[in-house]
Formats: sequence, structure tokens, C-alpha cells
Amino acid sequence: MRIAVFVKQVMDPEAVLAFDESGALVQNEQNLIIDAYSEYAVERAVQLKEELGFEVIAVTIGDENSIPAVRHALSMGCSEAYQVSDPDQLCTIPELKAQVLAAVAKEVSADLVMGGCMSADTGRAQVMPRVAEILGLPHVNKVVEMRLEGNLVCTKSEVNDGIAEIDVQLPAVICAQEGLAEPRYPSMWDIMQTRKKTIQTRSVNEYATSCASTSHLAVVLRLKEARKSGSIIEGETLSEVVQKAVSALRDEAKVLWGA
Amino acid sequence: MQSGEAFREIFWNIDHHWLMQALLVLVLFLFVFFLVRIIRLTRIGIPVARSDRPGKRLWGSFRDAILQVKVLSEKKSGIIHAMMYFGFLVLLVCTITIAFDTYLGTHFINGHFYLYVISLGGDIAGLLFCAGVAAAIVRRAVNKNLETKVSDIIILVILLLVGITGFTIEGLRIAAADDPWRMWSPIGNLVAYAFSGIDEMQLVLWHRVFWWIHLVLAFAAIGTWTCTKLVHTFLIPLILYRRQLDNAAILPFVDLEDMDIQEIGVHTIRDFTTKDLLDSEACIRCSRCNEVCPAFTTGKTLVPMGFMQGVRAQLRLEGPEIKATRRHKHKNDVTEGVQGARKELTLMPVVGASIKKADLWQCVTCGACTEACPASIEIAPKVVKIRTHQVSMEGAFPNEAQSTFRALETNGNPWGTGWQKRMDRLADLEVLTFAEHPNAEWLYWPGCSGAFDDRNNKVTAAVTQILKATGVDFAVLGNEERCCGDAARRMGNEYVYYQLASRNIAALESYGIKKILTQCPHCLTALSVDYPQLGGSYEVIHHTQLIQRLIGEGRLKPSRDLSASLAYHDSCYLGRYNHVLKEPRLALAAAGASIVEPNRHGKAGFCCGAGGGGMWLEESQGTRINVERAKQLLSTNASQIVTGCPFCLTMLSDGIKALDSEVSVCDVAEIIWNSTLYQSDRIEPK
Ligand code: SF4
Ligand code: SF4
Repeated sequence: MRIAVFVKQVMDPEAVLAFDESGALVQNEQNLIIDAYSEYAVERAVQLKEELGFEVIAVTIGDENSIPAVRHALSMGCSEAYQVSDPDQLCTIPELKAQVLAAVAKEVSADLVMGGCMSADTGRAQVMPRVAEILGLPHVNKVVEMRLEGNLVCTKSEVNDGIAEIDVQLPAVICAQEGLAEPRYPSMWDIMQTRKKTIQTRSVNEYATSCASTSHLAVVLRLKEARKSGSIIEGETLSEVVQKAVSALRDEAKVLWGA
Repeated sequence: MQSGEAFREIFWNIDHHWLMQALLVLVLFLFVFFLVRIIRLTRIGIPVARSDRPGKRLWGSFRDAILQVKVLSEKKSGIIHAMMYFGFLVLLVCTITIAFDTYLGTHFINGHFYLYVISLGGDIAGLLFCAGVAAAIVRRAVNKNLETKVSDIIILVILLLVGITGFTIEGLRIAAADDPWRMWSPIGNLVAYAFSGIDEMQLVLWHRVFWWIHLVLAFAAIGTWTCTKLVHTFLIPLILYRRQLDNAAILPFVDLEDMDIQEIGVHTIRDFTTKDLLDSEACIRCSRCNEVCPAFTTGKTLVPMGFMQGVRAQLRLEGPEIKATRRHKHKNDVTEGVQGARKELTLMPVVGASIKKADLWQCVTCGACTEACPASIEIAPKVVKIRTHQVSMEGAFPNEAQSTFRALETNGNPWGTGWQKRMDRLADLEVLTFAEHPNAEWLYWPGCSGAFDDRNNKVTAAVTQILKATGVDFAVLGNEERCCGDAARRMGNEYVYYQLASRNIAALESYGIKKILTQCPHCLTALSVDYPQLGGSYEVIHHTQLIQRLIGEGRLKPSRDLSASLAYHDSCYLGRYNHVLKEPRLALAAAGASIVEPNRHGKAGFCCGAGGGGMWLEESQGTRINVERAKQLLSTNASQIVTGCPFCLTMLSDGIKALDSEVSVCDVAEIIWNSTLYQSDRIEPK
């Protein structure tokens, strides 16, 4: 049995961020680390490897900065690692990434595909469901618990108002949410052993049919406006207060019409 | 009769000397045999080069072993031990001189020397010896903390019997021979009075019987000397000779650039050094280490003495087999040698056998145990070496350390605050970076606490103002500074330490920095003790040292009207490890403060609980170390508590808060700067 785990290198969530006029990030040597959600997926996959003797293949896509993510996954115990090299950052939108990753999953003949339910940097949460769609496989999102029973993946997944227990048949796509597993800290020994392993590199051009044509594009990026502080409406009488509130809702917040 | 003619007939009343001589040969053989066996057993460890500076080493052995200086540092047990030890020493000299007279034909047992030294001196020594041994028996029987074993008591009883039978035969001889010099042997003489009236033939017979009993007991003691704890009389001078002469915080260098590195830290018993193993054999279970250990005394399961005994037991258990395998290998396959033998044996990991996993993380590496130990046995470095293996090779450590390790890795500070923010507060204080002022004389190293922690920022402010007011030419590394790596290294994470240290050294080298002023004793230790192993050698001092220097030179003039009484808390890594004890006290005194010392201070200071990464670890057992220390400090009734370490500042403030006290905790720099402010014309007092 083979598990493909998709991992992503992201900006350290503690890094100091600044954006320019166009909404683009100002580069300030921010540190890159492996995405926390990727780590949950890797940890659970490696646990399955240790419990049941699976092969775990870590896959990433990106420029050379993405390599440490797969290295880290190797140090955590993955058996192999792939990097789909995209030096010019052609493949940054979820649709294209999903295409590429789905193709890699096929190539490594994965029975189970795992990855984070989203990434801590862009938080778009699209790649994994898209991969499932392309491969025609069932997927479970926001998985906080999973185990294998023969060909069945028994999961618990976070839904809006609680936890859903969902079992799916293999092959399947599982999207890790925080809590799926407590990622291990690779020891120096693990890291040194990993130095000797090779990472297989593919070019993004081998997979994506066309990197340019996509169904949607981001037109403009803007920072979320800082939340304004609330105000307390005061008045002598109750009807006065109500009057003020209504006019505030109509004139300032513009949520009431005609009143 | 003139006292100059005094003498004593040797072997009076004793025949069958050959029997005694034959027994002596046997006894000496056993003595040497057991001693050699122990020393050879410890050879399974990694050899250490501890033979440089022989003069200094010898002096240490002489002072602490022969003169018993460290033993006597604790009054009660020290005096008891000194009575036994010095009594025994004099008796040994007496016996040896007698042996000389007998076998080498000298004439020591004669005249004044005989009367004053052998007779009188020997009697007094014998009395001291017996009293000391008796007191030791009582102490061992009464004090339950000593974990006395039956064998301890047996040894003492035998020694006591040797002493008592010695006086008995002396008394019998005096009575039977009616010794004219009897007044020179006051104790023997007293015993002789007890026998007065007994028939001379009887006395002679009794003398002979007791003489042989005395001999058998003494020979039993000598023959088993080196296989009982009495072997410490040889091993302790030996380990004192091989003690750590450099900074006690030194850890073995791990070369992470070596790609073929196989093992780091201590995994099994043979990863210890020969000195470590000798330490465990020399430990006499006096429990002084336990009594001063902040972990043990706050009810945690770590028992430093137990750890040493654990190592010893494991050495006894596995050592012979390791030795045998090695010898075998050497014979069969010279080319493969030790390395080949290493792979075959399956040995117990020390964690779980010598020390429990949880206990390993309770040690705050404060070094109080080694300071108190009469043999200066090194405990903290052993703990750290085991941690190094646990973390670096096995990834095994308490959960809470993980976020600290990760924070250090990504942002170079234990809180994980974005590294780009390190300079923010220093910039507010209008401090220049080396990039802006590359020729500065001093590099000021505020450290992570000084840069990121709110409370310690105030200390940073005080230090900067002092530096500016006195015209010290300084700059900082700013965002190029990383955590010094002390906590990572002492928590066993050599990898993270290496990353941090090598980056820091690269930055320091790029500016050609020579002189560094640190705000934190842990940075002081890392920069001055750890970094030279990686090729970074600098003159590093602590801010309290510079402050004292500035006051001494008259450049900094604190007003002398601080009437407060201050309790000064010694940071372990400042006082004990780096010997900075005087300077902060002198500086405070220069501000007019009267310093009250808590019971545990100076070299014997009690840790705040933050050392050895304790700052980042949870304390789940017993009471909290910082609260215990806060109690000790509050009991001095001082109006303020002062320290020189950012971690101590945090820990003690928390401890004091937990005790609902209002007493404030400050850094030396704050006290001095405030006191300077008030009298300065330049700045209005606030
Ligand atoms: S170094 Fe300190 S905490 Fe560790 S065993 Fe010694 S006294 Fe106890
Ligand atoms: S380590 Fe030192 S202080 Fe502790 S019991 Fe042994 S000899 Fe005594």
C-alpha cells in the first residue's frame, strides 16, 4: 500500500508581514517552514507506515524553496520524496496545483492521498478536493481522526456543528485538520540520515497541460480592513435610543433601506 | 629515668611473626587486587584528557582530600569525618614507623619521638578515631536521609573494634609490663588501671589473645578496604586530580560537520568517560548533593546521589561483560578492534536503568551538587550528556520543549516572535547596530529576554542608559543576533544549538567583534564557554562586571543614599559557573544598599528553577523551585530582591507573586541607574 502525502512550504506564521500597494507581500527574509496542516497529514501517514508497513511518498510543488518541506517530511519518516519543480512559479493557483498533484499521485500509484485541509498561508482549502475530483476519488475533509480497517478508511471529520463519522473505500483522499496527529520532532539523527536520501525531481511542464489557461484568476488582492471598534448608543428615553439605532443602521452601516 | 631514653620493645609478648607476615602479604594482595579491578572496570569508558596543569590538579587533591577542606565545609559530618580521618592518619604513621624499625632497622620508637608522637600522639589520635567512628555510627543510624546500608554499619563497627582492641592491648601491655612511660599513654594507662589487680600471667595471656584479635580485625579492614566504600580514600584523591579545571559548564564538543558521526551523547554505560565512571565508584553516599539539589528538595523524583549509584550499579552489572568482549575482540581480530566489539553487545540504555526518564528533565543543571560534593563529582554534565542522546538521537523529550525548539529553529528566540522584531525595542532606545556603527568598541548583547520580554526590556533600558551616560562606545547586532543557544544545548539539542551558534559566530566574525557585553548569564556562558569550541573566541563579560568597573573608574557615580536592604540572588550561571560574585555586590554597596544574604548564597546559591532549559519545561512534580527560592529570599525581610539574570528575574517575580507578596524584584542595572539618576544634574528625577 502506498500513501502519497502532499506537503507545502509556507511562511512562518510568526513572521513579520508587510504588503505593498498592490497587496503583494513585501519580502523581508521571512522564514519558511513546513505547513502545520501538511505536518498533521505526514505524521498520520508515517504512523500508518510504522503500524502497517506502508510506503509513504511525500510530494511538493514549487521552486527550490519548497525542497525543505519534503526534506522535513523525510526526516519525519516518509519513505520517498518528490519535488515537482516550478522555478518560475507558474503553478501557484489551486486549480493547476491540483492537476499536477493528481498526476503525481497517479504516477506513484497511491492508494491513499493525504494532505492538509488547507494551508496556513493562503488558506484557500481547494487543492485536496480538486485532486479528489480529478482522480474521481471520494474525499473526506477536515479529518481529525482516521484509521484503516482493511479497505475502509474510518474517519471523524469536523463539520459545522460537530463531528461526522465518515467511512470511505480506498482509494481515497483524506484532508488533515489540526488534531489528526501530533507531529513528531525529527531528531538530529533523523535529519542526518535524511541528508543521504535523494529527492526525485520532476518538472512542472511534464504534468500541467497548460499553465496559463485557468478558469479563474485573482484580479486584485486587498488587505482586510481593521475592525472598527463598536459604539454604544445612548439616549434619555428608550424611543430616543431606538431612533438613533435605526438611523445609524440606515445611514452609517447601510443595512436598512426605506425605514 | 630520662625521657630521652624511653623506648618500647616491639612485638613484646608476640610470637609467630611469620603468620602475621604471611597474612599481611595476602591482605596487601587483596588490597591491590580490588583496587586495580575497579580502576580497570572504569576503563570501559571513553578516555578523557585531564592531566594538564598537574600542579594545580595536585594542589586540589591535596587541599580537598588530604587537608579535607571541602569535607569540613559542612560542620557536623565534616568534623566527624575529620576525627576519623586525622586519627587514622596518625595511627597509620605510628604503624609505619614501627614497621620501619622492625624491618629496616631504624630507631624511631625511641626517646622524645616515641613519647610525644607515638605514645601521646597515637593515644590522642586513637581516641579521636574511636569517637569519630562511634559518632558516624550514631549519625548513620539516626539520619534516615542517608540511605544507610548494612554494609556501611559493618565497616564502621569493624573500624571501631580495631580502635577499641588497640587500646585494650595497650592497656594490657602497660599493666603486665608495668611500663615506666605509662603516663605518656593516657588512654592506655586508664585501661591499664581497669586491669589492675589481675594476675600477671593472665594479663600476658589476654594480651596475646587481644593482639591477634586486633590484628585479624585490622587485616580484615585492610583486605576488604578497596572492595568496600573505603576505597574512596584512593578514588577521591584520584577524581579530584582529574576534576574539571575549566568552567564547570563545559560540555563535550560535538562536531556536527562530521557526516560520519554515529553516536552523540550518552546512551549506554560505555558512552560515559572514564572520569564519569570513576566518579560513580568514588561516590560515598554522603547525600550532600541531595541536600542542596533544588529538584530533590522540592519533592521531585530526581535524586542526584541515586543517579550516581545507578551509574555505579550499571557499571558493575555490564562493565565486566563489556571488558571481556573487548579483550576477546582484540585477541581475535586486531584490525576490527574496539569498534567491532561495540556492535555486538546489547546493553541497557542508561535512561531507565541509571536514571528515570522523568528525572532527567528535572535537573536544572545548577551545579549546586558538584559544589557541595566533597569529591566534586560532576553530575549536571552527565545529565546533559544523556539528554543530548535522548534529543539528538531519539527525539525523546518532554512535549512542551518542542515548541521551544521549533521557535528557536525558525525565529532564533524561544518565544518564536518574528526575528525581524528583535531590534524594535532597542531602536526605541536609540541604540545603533554594528551595521550602522561598525567600529564600536563593545558589542552589547541584550539576549532574547532583553529584546523581547516586557519586564526585561526595562533592564535593557537601564543598561543602555548607563552605557550612554558613561560614554561607552557600543553597538548591537540587532536583527542579526540569534538566541545564544544555551537552553537548546543544555536541553540536549545540539543541532539547534549548532545552528544558532554558528550563525551568531558568523555575524560576530563579519564585524570583527572582540569584546562582548552580555545582559544574561546564560549568554555569557554560551559565548565564553561554548562558542570557543566552534572557533569563536571573544572577551565576554556580564553587565554587572562592567557596571562595577565603571563605578570603580569613577565614570558612573551612583548616589550613596539608597538606604534599602536588598537581598541579592546569585544566578547559578553567573555566580557558581562564572564566579561573578563580588562585582554585583560591590556595585549595590556603592549605591549605599545594605545587602542581606539568604542562607543559600554565593557559590552555594539556590537556583530559581530556570537553568538547563528549566525556563521552558514544566514542573509537574513536587512544589515549584521558584516559589521555594522566593520564600528563602523573602525570609530575609529585605525590602527588595535583586539579581543579575533575566530568567531569575522572571522566575522570582512569578514565585513572589504566587506567595502574594508585594516585594519587587529588580536587576542590578536598574538599581544602579535609578540611583545615578537622582543625583545627576542632567536628568530630572521622575
Ligand atoms: S545540577 Fe542542580 S538540579 Fe541538577 S542534580 Fe545537581 S543540584 Fe540537582
Ligand atoms: S555525589 Fe558527592 S555529594 Fe553526592 S553522595 Fe556522592 S559523594 Fe556525596
